[in-house]
Amino acid sequence: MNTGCIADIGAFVYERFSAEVGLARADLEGQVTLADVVHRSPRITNSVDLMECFAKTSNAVRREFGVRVRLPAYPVNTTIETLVHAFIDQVQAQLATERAV
Amino acid sequence: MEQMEVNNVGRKGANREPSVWNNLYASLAGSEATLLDVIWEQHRFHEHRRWDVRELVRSIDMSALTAADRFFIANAGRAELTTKPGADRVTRLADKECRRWLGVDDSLAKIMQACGTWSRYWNEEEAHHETAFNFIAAALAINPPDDMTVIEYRKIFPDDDMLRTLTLLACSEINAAVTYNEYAHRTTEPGLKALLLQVGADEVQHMRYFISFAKALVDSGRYGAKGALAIAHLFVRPGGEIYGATRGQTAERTTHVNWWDNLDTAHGDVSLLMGVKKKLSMTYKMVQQITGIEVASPEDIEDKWMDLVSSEPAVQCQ
Repeated sequence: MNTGCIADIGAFVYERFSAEVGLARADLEGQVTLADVVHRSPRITNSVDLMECFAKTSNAVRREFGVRVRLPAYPVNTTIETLVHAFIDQVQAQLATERAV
Repeated sequence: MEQMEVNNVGRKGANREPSVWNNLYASLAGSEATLLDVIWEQHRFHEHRRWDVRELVRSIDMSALTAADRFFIANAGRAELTTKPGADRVTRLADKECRRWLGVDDSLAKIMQACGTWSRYWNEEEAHHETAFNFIAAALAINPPDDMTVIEYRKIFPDDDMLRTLTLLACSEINAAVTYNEYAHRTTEPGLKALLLQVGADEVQHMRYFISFAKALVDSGRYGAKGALAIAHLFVRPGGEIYGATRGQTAERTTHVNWWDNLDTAHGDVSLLMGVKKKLSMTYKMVQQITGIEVASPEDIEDKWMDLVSSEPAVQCQ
């Protein structure tokens, strides 16, 4: 199981999410927002589809790192970068808790 | 006892109270009922619950309305404007889905047609709500919607999967019903209380219909429970749709207006935060009724939804 350094987690999340939404990783970086992804993705028509892509990414993170990431609602002008950081923070926090036990 | 016989042919169930048809798929697929039976029951139910907007509005002492009452009425009137495009969308989508399933699954096509037919009653009943509140708002000059606002709020919702659409509408009715009931128990003006309780009761019946149609879709085996759970999660997750305009930031949409995002935030403690526990518990029950899956918290809904999502194959990375 992946022990979860930041670079690994971030790269993994970007890779999975870009596969789910059908956009290249480069098209998700920088100031790209949730609204941009809904608009540009060939696989998503609305925010429920987008939510499902995040769920699939979260499930993949669970299989890879052994932790379940929960994401609350985010405004549509939230950048993908912010969400990837949210994934990283949750994974690291849970892994740290497990190691401490 | 209601007896309706034409040429000695009695209608099924004519001698009992009209109700929302619960096991629609089983009834239509098992040839226990025809579309005409279902439509007749819809009509009996609608007529059984008819009320007159003019009577209830006349019973309100306008001079006794408080600032909180006026705030609530103005917001309710604007919110109810979006129900017509919601119903128009269901009418169109249901017929499109009926034609799509015809010849593939005729029982499912019949369910879609039953839903589309019922939408005419939903549209009419919501018209009562909209006109009641906006009449009062206009009469008392409490920020009634102007013509451009009416046109803006009539934008028709984009299409989505039918199960997700019906579940979203059930969630919307839960939000509305609880909000109306909560405020009905706060206002001291008896005429307004009566109006709010009537409107809230209508919303509960609408919720029951949406649940009935959504359950029929899942019962058909053609629609998975995942869609219903996704919408429930959308509504009840932290910062979810049930919190509406009370959230720090809401989505700006150009395609349609979600009423819960377009309310004035709060007047004192009068806001969409009223009755949150009740909204959550009704959502859990809705999930169980549509899918048969028991849930007891937002985390539960999220977990079960994500488990269903994980049972589908992941997209391969390039």
